[in-house]
Amino acid sequence: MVQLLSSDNETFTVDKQVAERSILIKNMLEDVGESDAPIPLPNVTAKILKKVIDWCEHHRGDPVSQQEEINDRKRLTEIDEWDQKFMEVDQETLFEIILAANYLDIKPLLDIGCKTVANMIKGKSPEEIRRTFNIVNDFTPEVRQFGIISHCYFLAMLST
Amino acid sequence: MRSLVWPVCRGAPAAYCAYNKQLMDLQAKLDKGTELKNTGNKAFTSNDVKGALTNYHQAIFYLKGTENIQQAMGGVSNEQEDPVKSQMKQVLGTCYSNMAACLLKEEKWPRVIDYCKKALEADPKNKKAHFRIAQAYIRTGKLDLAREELQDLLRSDPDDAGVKRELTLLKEKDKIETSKEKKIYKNMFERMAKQPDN
Repeated sequence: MVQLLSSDNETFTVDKQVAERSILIKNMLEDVGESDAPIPLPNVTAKILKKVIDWCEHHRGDPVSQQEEINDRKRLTEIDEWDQKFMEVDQETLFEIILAANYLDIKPLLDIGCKTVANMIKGKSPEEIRRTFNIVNDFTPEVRQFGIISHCYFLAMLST
Repeated sequence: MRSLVWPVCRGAPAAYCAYNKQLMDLQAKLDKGTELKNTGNKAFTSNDVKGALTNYHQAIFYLKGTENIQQAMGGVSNEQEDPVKSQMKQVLGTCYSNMAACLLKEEKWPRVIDYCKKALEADPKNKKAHFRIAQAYIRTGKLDLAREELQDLLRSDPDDAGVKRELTLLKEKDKIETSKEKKIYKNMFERMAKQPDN
C-alpha cells in the first residue's frame, strides 16, 4: 500500500498497482522503494485526488498503452462509456482533473480529459466557445485553462 | 478612453488577488523545491545515491505542474513567463539532470535518457545532460544518436577528456557492429552457395 498526501493535507491509502498508474509516482517507487511516509502531492487537492484515484482504481488492470498511431479521425475524440460518465463533472473540476493528470503523468487520463473538452468545442463558433468556457478576454489570469482549451480546440478541428 | 480601461479594471481586483496568492504559493513551492534539491546534491556528493534520488523526487513534486498544458504536450505557448515560474523550471531541470547522474550510476539507461530529455526541455544548453544522454545512447545501442551528441560536445569543447573517452568507446562499439553485420552477410552468402541451383 502507498500513502498519498493531498495539498490540503488529506491522506489517501491506495494499492501500489493503483498508485503506479501515475508515472511520476511509479518512477519514484522504483528508484527509492516504498516507505511508510506519505507521498506529498502539493499540486493536487483532496477533491481532485479522490477523483483521480477512482479513475486509477477502475483502470488498474489496463495494459500500459503503447503509443499507437490513430489513423481514424473519429477515434481522436472517442471516449468509452465509463470514462464519459466519469467526466460528467462541472467545468472547473474537469480542468483540475486535466491538470492533475498532466502533473501526475497519467497519459490515458490526460487524453480522456482533452477529448472531453474537444467534444464540448466541436461544432461551435468561436463566439459560442468563448461563452461556453466563460473566456472574457485574453488578459484573464487563468491562462492555464485557456491553454487547455486551445490545445483541445486543435484536437476538435483535427477530428471533424 | 474610459470605456476601454474600465472593463479590465472592474474585473481585475478579485482575479488579480487570486493570481497574487497563486504566485505566493509558487514562491513557497520554489523555496521548498530548491531546499530539497540542495539536500539531494549533498547526498550525491557523499555517494548516497538513494538519498539523493529520494530528495530529487520530492523536489519534483513541488516544482512540477506550473507549465501550461500546451507546453506540457510539446506545443509552443506565447504565455509570458513569470520570473518565479521560470526559476522553478530551471531548478526542475537541474533536478532531472542530477537524477540522470544518479541513474547512470545504477545503469538504468532508458530512464537516464528520459530524464536527460526532460532536463534539456528546461535548458537545451545543459552540457551535462547532453553528455549523460550520449552515454546512455551508447549503452542502449543507439550509436548514431550518441555520435551526434558527442560531436556537438566536442565542437564546443575540443579538449574534454570525458567526451573523448566516450568517443573511443563509441568507435569500439561501431567496430563490433560492423563485424556482426559482416558475419551475418557471410553466413547468408555461404548458405546461398550451399543451396543447389534449380
